[in-house]
Amino acid sequence: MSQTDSTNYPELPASKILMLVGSILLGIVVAILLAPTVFKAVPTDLARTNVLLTTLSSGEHQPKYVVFGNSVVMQGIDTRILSEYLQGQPTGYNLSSTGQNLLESALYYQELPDSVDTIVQVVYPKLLMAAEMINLQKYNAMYMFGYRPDEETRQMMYEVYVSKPENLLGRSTVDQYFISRWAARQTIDTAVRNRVRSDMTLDAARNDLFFPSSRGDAMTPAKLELDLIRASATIREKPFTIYQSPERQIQAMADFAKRTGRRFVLISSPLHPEAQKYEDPAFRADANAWFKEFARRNDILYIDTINYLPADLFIDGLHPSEQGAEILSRHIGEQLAQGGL
Amino acid sequence: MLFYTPEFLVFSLVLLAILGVVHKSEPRKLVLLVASYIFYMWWNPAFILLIVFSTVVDYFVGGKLAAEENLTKRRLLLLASMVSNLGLLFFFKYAGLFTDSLLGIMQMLGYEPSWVSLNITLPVGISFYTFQTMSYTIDIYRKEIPATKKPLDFALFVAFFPQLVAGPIVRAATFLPQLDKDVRLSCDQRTFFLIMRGLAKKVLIADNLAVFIDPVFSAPGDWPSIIIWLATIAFAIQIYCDFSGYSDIAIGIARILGFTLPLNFNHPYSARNPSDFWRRWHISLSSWLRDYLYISLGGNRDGAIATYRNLMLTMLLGGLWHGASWNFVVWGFLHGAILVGHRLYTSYRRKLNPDWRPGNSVIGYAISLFLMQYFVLITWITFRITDFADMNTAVWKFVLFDFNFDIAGLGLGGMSFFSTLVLMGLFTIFTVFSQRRGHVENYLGTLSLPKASAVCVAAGFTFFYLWPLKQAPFIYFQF
Repeated sequence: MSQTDSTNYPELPASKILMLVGSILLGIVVAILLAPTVFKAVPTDLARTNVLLTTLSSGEHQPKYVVFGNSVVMQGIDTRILSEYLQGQPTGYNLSSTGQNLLESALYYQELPDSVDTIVQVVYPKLLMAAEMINLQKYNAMYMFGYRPDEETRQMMYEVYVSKPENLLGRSTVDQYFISRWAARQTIDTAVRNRVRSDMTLDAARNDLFFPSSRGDAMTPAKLELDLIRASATIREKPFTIYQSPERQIQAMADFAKRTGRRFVLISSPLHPEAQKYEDPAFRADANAWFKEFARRNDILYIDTINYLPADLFIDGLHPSEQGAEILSRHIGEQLAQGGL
Repeated sequence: MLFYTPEFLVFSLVLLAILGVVHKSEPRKLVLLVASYIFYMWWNPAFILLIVFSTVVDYFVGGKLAAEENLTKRRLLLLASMVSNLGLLFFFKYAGLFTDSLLGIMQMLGYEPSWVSLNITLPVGISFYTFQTMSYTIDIYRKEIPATKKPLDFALFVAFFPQLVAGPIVRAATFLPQLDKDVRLSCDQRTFFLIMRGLAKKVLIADNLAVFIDPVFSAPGDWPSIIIWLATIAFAIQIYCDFSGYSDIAIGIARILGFTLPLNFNHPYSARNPSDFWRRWHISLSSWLRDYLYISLGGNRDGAIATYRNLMLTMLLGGLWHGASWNFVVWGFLHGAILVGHRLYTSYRRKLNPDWRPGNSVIGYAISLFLMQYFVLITWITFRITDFADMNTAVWKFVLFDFNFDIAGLGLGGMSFFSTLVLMGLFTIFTVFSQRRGHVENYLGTLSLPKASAVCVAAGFTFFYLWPLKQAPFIYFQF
C-alpha cells in the first residue's frame, strides 16, 4: 500500500462489505453455472475426448473395428490402410488419444456401438510397469463431455484399482464443474500453440477418426537424445515386472470383449531402437514374452511390433514418422488378416 | 491455516463477529491473542509452546533490562534473550543442516560416525517471531523504547496472527503504541481490494507459474538457455507475488482489525542498484538486518574494509535466515558481493569527482536497471535450486546463452508454457501500470459501489477459472 497516498477512502459499512463479498460469490456462481458451456466451447488438448465420445454415442457411426491407444497409435496407425488388408475392407476407427492409458481406453468400451465386432488394444509396454489410473483432468474432461460410467464399468474400476477410483467416482457434479477450471488456462496454451507450431496439424489430430496424426518435424539428434531419456525415465534400467493393476486391467478388457461377443486383439506398440540403451537389456524380450503368454492364456491374437520400426522411421523418441506409420499400418493389417479378421 | 482456505474464512467471520460485540479494549486484545494462538495451533498445536516461551522470556528480560542500569548486568540480560531466541532458532532450523554437513565432511574424510542425521520439524514462522521478539529486547537495551508493562500487549505483539508466520516483521516501537489506542474494526474499499490483490498475486500468478518453473529447475540440464531464462524470470515473479501477496493480505487484515503494519515491498524489480533493491525487497527484514545486525557489527563506522566485512556478514546471515540450506548462503554471498562491489564503484567514482551522482538519463537508467535485475535473476537461481550441480548448470546456461531458440517438441505443452508467458506479460503490464498510476487498489478504492461490485463479480469469475488445481503453500512459510 502506498505510504504517500493521501486520498481519503471512505469506510465501508457492513452492508457494503457484504455486497462486495456477495458480488464475488455471484461471479463464482455464474462461473459454475457456465462451466459446462464454457468447457465445451473452448479449445483444449483434450478436445479429442469429445470427438471420441460423440462418435461412439451418436449412432451415426457404425465401425466394424476400433483401435485404442496413446499418441503413438495416433501417429502410427492409419485404419484406412489396415482395412485394405481385411476381408470386405470394413470401416475401422482409430480412437486413440494423447496419453490414453489402459483405463481410459477401457472407459470408452461401454460406449461402443453394436456394429463393433473387434477391439484392437495397443499397449505401450512401459504401461505394464505402472499402476496408472486415469488422471483427474482427463476423467474430468470425459465427465464434462457427458461421459458417465455405467455400473459395470464402475465395478471394473474398483476391481482393478481397489479404492483409488473413489477419487474420480466419488465426486459430485458441482465438484466436477470446479475441477473443470483447468480448461480455462489450457485454452490459452492450446490457442497460442496452434498458431506457433506450424509443423503440427492439430485439427486432424483432434477430428480424424482414421489417422489422427499431428505430424511434427523430426527432432535434431540432441533433442532426440533428451526425448529418449525422458521417454524411458520411469523404467530406466529396471527389469521388466508386470504390475497387478495393468494386468488386471488388460484381463478386464479381454473379458469385456468376450462377454459382449467381440474379438479382442492385443498389440504391443513400437519402441525407438535407441531407447534400448536406457532400458534393462531384457526389458523388451520379457515384455514381449508376457504379451505372448497373456494372449495364449486368453486365446486372443497378439501382434508384436516392439522392435518393428527402425530408428529413421521415428520423428522423436516415441512417435513414428508418416512413412513409419504407413509401414507399421501395413504390417499390422497383414497380421490382422492372417489372424482371420 | 492459510489465508485462502475455507477454514480461514470461517475463522475470520467468527473473529469479526466476536470483535463486533466485544467493545472494551483489554477483552478485545485477549480475543485477538486467543485467535492468534488458534491460528498458529491449527498447523501444529505443540509449537505454540515455543511462542509462549519466547514471549515469557523476552517480556521478563525486557522488564529487567528497563530497570537495570549496570552495564554488565544489562549485557547479561541481553545475552540471555539472544541465547534463548537464537538457541531455539538454531535448534529447530539449523541443527539438521549442521549435523548433516558435519556428517558429510566426516564421510569425505573416511570416517563413519555412529550418529544419524537429525530430522526436526521446522515450526512455521519461527524466523519471523524470534526476530520480532529480539528486536524488542535490543531496542530496550539500546534505550530506544521503554519496556511494556502489559503482558497481554506483548503477547499480542509476538503472536499477532496476520503477520505471525510470514511477516512483515513488526517492531515493538511501531506496534505496541497502537495497542494503547482503542482497537476498532474498520474496512475501507481500498483495504478490501488490497486483500483481493494479495490473493490474486498469490493464487492467480504465483501458483500458476509454478507449473512451468518446477519441472525446468528440477532438471535444468535438459533445457536450452532461453527456457532457463524464462523460468528464472517466472520464478522472480512467482516469489515476489507469493511473498508480497501474503504481505498485502496481512496488511489488509491488520487494517481491518485496526492495526497498521509496515510496507514490505515497493517495486523491487525497478531497483537500479543493490542498495536500492534492498530498500524495496522484504523491507521489514532488510531494515531489521541493517538496524540489529549490520549496525551492531559496526556498520560503516570503522573504515572501508570493516564496512565491506560487515555488509558481507550481514548478507551471509541474511541468506542463511531464509533456510537451512547452503544455497541460501550462496544467495546471501552473491548479494553481499554486489553490495560491496557497488560501494567500491561508488566510492571510486566519488574519488574521481566528489560531486558524482548516478545519472538520470534514459540510457543510464536502462543500463543500471538491466544490470541490477540481471544480477538479481542470477541470485534467484541460487535461491531456487538447492542441488549445487543443478544450480551450477542453470547459472552457466543463464550466463553463457546458447542461442538455441528451437524449443518445439521439448514437451513444453504439458508445462503450460504459453499461458505462463501470458501470465508473465500480465504481471509486467500491472507492474508498469501500478508504478506509473499507483497501486490498483488505490484506483479501485475510489469506485462507486455498483462499479466496485461489477469488479468483484469479474474477480469471482476469474478466481474460479484461474484458481490452480494444485495449491501450493506460501513459499516464505518454510523460512
